[in-house]
This record gives sequence, structure tokens and C-alpha cells, in this order.
Amino acid sequence: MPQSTPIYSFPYPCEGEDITVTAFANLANAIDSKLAELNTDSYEARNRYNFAAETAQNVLAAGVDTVLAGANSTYTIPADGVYFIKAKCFNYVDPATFTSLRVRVRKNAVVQFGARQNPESQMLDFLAAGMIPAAAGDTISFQALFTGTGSWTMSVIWYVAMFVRIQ
Amino acid sequence: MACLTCPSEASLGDVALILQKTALEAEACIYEQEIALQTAINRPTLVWQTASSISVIPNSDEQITLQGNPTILFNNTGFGSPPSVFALGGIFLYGITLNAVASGTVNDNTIRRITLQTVDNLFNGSPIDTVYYTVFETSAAGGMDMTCWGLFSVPVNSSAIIRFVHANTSSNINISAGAIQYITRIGDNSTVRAV
Repeated sequence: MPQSTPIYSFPYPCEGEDITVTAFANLANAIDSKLAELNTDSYEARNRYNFAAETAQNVLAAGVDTVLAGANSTYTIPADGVYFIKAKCFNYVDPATFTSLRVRVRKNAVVQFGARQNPESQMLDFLAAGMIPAAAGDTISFQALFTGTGSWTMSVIWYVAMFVRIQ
Repeated sequence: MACLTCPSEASLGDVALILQKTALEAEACIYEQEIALQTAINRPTLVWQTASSISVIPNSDEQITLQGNPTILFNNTGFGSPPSVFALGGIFLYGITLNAVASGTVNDNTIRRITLQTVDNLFNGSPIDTVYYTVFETSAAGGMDMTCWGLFSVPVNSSAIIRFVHANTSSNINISAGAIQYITRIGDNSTVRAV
């Protein structure tokens, strides 16, 4: 009766059994299969998901918390894991006046974290960053808000980096 | 070092024994590699989130690290509670995101500041490294969203603490429920070889 190793169940014939080429093939295939599995883990560890993009320019009205739209305004999480996300507000056209600027990062339309600045009408680029668990298929998106007058033309430059893969 | 040993002349005829030996030696070698791979790729990481708000009085630079009934969102460190992960030593990415809202009257343009600090437990909590993040209240509805993070090189048996201070003298500041803190180990303090 063939036996197998305790951890990975590599098969081997027992003393006294008839040995055929199948015994060699079974052992070789079992070892090969385990090595292939480790090779996949190694590849996934060396090639963790990372993505960076800039959203399309959005024009915000004063006092309206706006979910950014257009190209690159969302990211679909590719695999279960813990992700570090950074979202930087990039200004294109100042509002007429502005007393606060805010950007928020959302997961599946629920706010996770954000950053707010008190610029006193002196424009600045600023960012929000944090680390959250996320599942494959979750959607990351962004919303921005300013208080003041006029309109604000801006975009978000964002980065998403997987730090831990959950398997 | 070779993983598999050659069969001796005397055992050449016992094919079953040779295959058994090969299977066991291969398993031992691969297991060692798998443990090393898992240790390398599974960065010890702890992410936790507060479930209730934290009230901070004015001008008190209060430590808020374990307040707010933290719920662990992810933990593969083997340690049960925050700051303990620094028991490992190494290079860590450490950070917090929070929303700070006045419980009553808001004092415009007053300071809100987060302090992230690592301390050495062997030397009476002496500070090792500090990162600050400062904003000034805008008085806009919804309070101040804030994020703060840093890379810290810490020895074994260190702790991480987070403090919050504000100068909103007219009322306390509430750190809203949902504040997220996270620690992830990037690597060793010294690396012999980079791959």
C-alpha cells in the first residue's frame, strides 16, 4: 500500500511492493505541482498590484460634495488584500474665493478617509492617504468639496498599492 | 547545500526505500523554502478602526492610540493588540486617518495636530522618532479630515503612540468613530542582500 509524506502528501511505494514507472511519475508530478504552486506565490509576491493615474478634470460648484467622474475616476480592486491608497488634489483653475478644500477616498461609495485644508484663498496641492483592507471587485472612487465662491477645476492624482495579499 | 542525497551502493536494489527517502528529503527542502517565502511575503500588518468617538479636551495633547473601542480589520502579525507589533523591530509604515469635529462651538483657524511617535520600551518610553501633521480649523460643516503617516525604523520592543491636540477652547473635539490606524512591516533594519 503506497504511503505519502506528512506535509505535502508526496506519494512513495512501500518496501515489498511491485515498483513500476508509475511510482516515479507520481512522485515527480507531485513535487512538480508543489513547486509550481510556490512559483505562483513567489511571482505574486514580487508583482504586487500597483496602479497610478490622474482623474479627468472635474469642475466643482461651491459647497457641493462632488463624486469625481470621467476617465480614471474609479479603480476596481483586483484581488483580496490590504491596500495603501494616496489621493492628491491637483488644481487647474482656482475658485474665486475658497476657505476650505477637501478630498475623500471611498470604497464602494462609502467614505473611508480624507483630508481637508484651510487655504484662506491661497491654493495648494494636498493629499489624503491611508491603508484599508479591500476585496476583489471593490470600487475605489473619490469625492471633493470646497467652500467659497465660484467654481473649482481640479483632478485627483491617485495611487493604489497592495501591501498584503489575502489568500 | 544539496537537498537530496544519493542512494548508497548497498541500497540501490531497494527502489521503494529510495523513493521514500527522495520524497521525504524533497518535502523537507521545499517546506523550508515555503516558510522562508511566506515570511518574506506576508508582511506583518495590523489595521484597526475605532467604533466609537474619542473626546479630546483643549490643549491637552492626549494619547488616543487605544481609545475608541478599536475593532481589528486585518491582523496577520500574530499579536493581539496594536503597538505590540513593534515587538518585532524593523522598518514600519505607520499611520492614521481621522475626522475631528467640535462637539460644540467651533473656533475658526485654531490648530488641530496629530503626532505619531515611536518610543523605546527599554528606556522608559524615550521617543525614537516623531511625525506631525497640522491643520487649522476651517469652520466648514463636517469638521477636519486628517491623515498622517510615516516610515519608522524601530528596534525590537518598541511601541507606537498617537496623540491629538487642538486649541478649540470653546468645546472639546470629537475624533469621530471610523478612525483607521495601520502598521505594516516593510523590512528589517539591516538588509544583507537586496533581491
